[in-house]
Amino acid sequence: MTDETTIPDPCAAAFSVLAFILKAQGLKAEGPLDGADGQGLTPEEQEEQLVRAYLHRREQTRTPGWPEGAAEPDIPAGHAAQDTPDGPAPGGKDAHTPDTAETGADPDPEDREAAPPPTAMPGPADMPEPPGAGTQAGPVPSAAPEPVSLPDAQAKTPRTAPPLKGHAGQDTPDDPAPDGTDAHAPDTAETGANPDPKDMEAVCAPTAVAGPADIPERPGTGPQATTLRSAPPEPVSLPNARAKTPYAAPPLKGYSSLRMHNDNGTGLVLGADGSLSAESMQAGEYTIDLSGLKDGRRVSVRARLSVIPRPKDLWISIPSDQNAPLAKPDEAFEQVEGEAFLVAASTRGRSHAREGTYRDDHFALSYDAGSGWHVMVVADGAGSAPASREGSRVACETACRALQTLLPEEVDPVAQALVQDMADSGPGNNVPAPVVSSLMRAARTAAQELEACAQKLACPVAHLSTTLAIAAARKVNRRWLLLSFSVGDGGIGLWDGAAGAAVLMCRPDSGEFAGQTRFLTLGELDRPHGGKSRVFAEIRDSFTAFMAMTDGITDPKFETDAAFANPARWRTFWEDDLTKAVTFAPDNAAIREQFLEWMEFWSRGNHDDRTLAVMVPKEPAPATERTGESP
Amino acid sequence: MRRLLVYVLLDTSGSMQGEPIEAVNAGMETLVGALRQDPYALETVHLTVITFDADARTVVPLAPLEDIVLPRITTPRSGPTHLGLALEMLGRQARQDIVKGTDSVKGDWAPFLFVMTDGKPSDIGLYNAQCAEIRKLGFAQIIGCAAGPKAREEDLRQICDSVVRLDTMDTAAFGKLFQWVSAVIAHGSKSQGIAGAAELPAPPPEINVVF
Repeated sequence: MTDETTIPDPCAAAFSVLAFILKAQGLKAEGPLDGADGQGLTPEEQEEQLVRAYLHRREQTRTPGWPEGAAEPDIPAGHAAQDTPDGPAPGGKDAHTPDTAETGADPDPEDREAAPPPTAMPGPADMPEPPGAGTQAGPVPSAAPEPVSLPDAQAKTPRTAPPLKGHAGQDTPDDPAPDGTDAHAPDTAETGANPDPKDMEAVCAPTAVAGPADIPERPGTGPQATTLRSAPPEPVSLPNARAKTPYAAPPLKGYSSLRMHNDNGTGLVLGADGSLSAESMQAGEYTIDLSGLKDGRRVSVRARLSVIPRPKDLWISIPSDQNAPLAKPDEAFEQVEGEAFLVAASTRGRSHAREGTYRDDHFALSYDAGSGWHVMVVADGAGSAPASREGSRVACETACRALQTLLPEEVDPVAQALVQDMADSGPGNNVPAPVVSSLMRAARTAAQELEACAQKLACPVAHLSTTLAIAAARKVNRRWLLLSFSVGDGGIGLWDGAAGAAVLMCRPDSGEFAGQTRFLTLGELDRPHGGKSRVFAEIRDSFTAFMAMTDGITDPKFETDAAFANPARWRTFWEDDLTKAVTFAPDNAAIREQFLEWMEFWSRGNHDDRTLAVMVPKEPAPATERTGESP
Repeated sequence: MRRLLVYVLLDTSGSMQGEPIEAVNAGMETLVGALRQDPYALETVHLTVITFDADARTVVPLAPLEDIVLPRITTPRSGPTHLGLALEMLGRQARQDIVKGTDSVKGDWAPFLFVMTDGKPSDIGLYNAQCAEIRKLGFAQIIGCAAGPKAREEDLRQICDSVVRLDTMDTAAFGKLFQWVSAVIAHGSKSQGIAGAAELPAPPPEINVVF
């Protein structure tokens, strides 16, 4: 109904006064600052402290008059800054009456410089006002109600409203008050009318008027409410923190004069520059209650903070049920002494330990003194196959047993000639037929046994899915004949530290995506090139270690197929890693503890079962071997 | 290190306005919070969130779970459901993001995709074309969620390995959905290996598995 252009200026002073009063109410509600004794405070802050103390004391002793509870939630925040830039800062000292002193109180030094002159205070604070009058400020009983439309504003984007015109101090008791917040300042009413034009001008300076935007809305007038206490806090997100790790977030953008109201147990400390920091926090989701000045008005801010747990703290170990069918111990260790020293360890992955499920890996070692064959077999049961732990066990034990028959039967009769041929023809030659035959037969026997086992368990053979890696070696005339076969990921490798040579003795079976691999099945062995190309043979006068391992070891230690063939990686793995922790010698009484402890190494994202079988020739002295100078 | 890329496509069309989108916001927090409690997921999951209405937007660009700060997802007042557009954007990003295993590079785990919609694709031509494209990317699991009465499972079936149905679109229902999604991801991050054999964890009763 109001045509702004025709209304004489300015009622902004009234707004500033209303803001002032509301501000004071907020200050009162906050009470005195804890522990502030004036030390190190600026004069403005001391002044503020004085006012706070006064208000607090008054609050303790006064009779009801300033409605309790109403004061707190309904203070338009925007009024805090709605002041004249050059107005004197009364800070309560110039107050004529106790009641007006309240309106003179300014909680924030930044606000204070914009404090309105006391003379411009219409002081509606004690004027009983019916609810709803938000847009008018100075109570002048005689004036007729004159609703004014104010520009719409949103909580998040405070804006400067043009000064209200023609409403200086015009208000009536029957004009509905915002929500009953303002009350009881009878002696200030007279200041509401006819403010000094000079003051008015200052008050109405656009930069100083933020208030109208935040006056509670009432039907037909439009302004939106933003109140210091009841308005929803502005949500902000802090950068994520890590549990038990020092944290420092940069100062919140867009806010100044930040205050922390509740750290919600995080122990966060607000720095002078507005940064938030903590030495150490517990994992969890937190909200931090702050307030700060945004475009000159105080707004509450709710900062969301995620403190991310440390993965190490989340890995727990639940023992698997050893009485259930197909139970398997959570870890295994074995050593076998022949002409070489064989050691193997297998541990349950953290991903299984966390759920109390079984280790899916398995291994088998054997040495036959009669034939001189050393055999190491490792297998990795597929994580997604329900009985794969049994599959890996069956495959390992069957293949290992079969080889101790097949190798002497097929390879030994021609071993001498075979080694001579291989030595003569050099590396990269074809694998001799007896070797291929014996290893393939062993693998086939294992695959058949898996099918038999599936029948026995009345489950699909896919439930027993497992990989298989075989490493076998014997001495032939002072030379080592080393053979291997594998299906699926994991790896078999020969490391010769003296020569700096790493010999890849397996065919990578990795898919395009991690975890995609092949498993030991009759079908897989019958595929064209599916069998023969999986067999490897090598002869060496000496070597440092011959190893078979599951992907629980290759993934974290070698990562890629290329790295698995890289001598530098092998040297690092053997010299700087494994033998730093484990002494591979038959007379090492602590080898079991050393090996199993090493198997627990930490590698982010790699928590599969781990199985490693190591063969070291016995002749070289352990000391020589560790320096990589095998004879 | 092997990553598990997880893509989440969320319908923000006009019909999601109000409680549904609030429920989705809460649900996403549930999802991220639950995954952060799973150490395997925490170490491996990298999340991307794309919303779609008339436009498709990447509201959470690919980032490790521990670095994700969820934004507040909002909806326009009205508008179409351009799921095809979202799939196109997803395809573009996924082709760039996914590291496939080679001799010298460690491949990621096969990625996961979740699509939640409460309507049917408005850009059906583009949608049909993109379904075929997305299929080629090698996702380990594409799970669709038809939320509310207007969502059509048939549309989602074209692209998804599994479709679940949410009868109501309140906070409780979405909470359960996202909790289950986190279980699927956590489960998937450690049980890959046999193509097609991975079974989904059983969903809570509020969620009906359509097939």
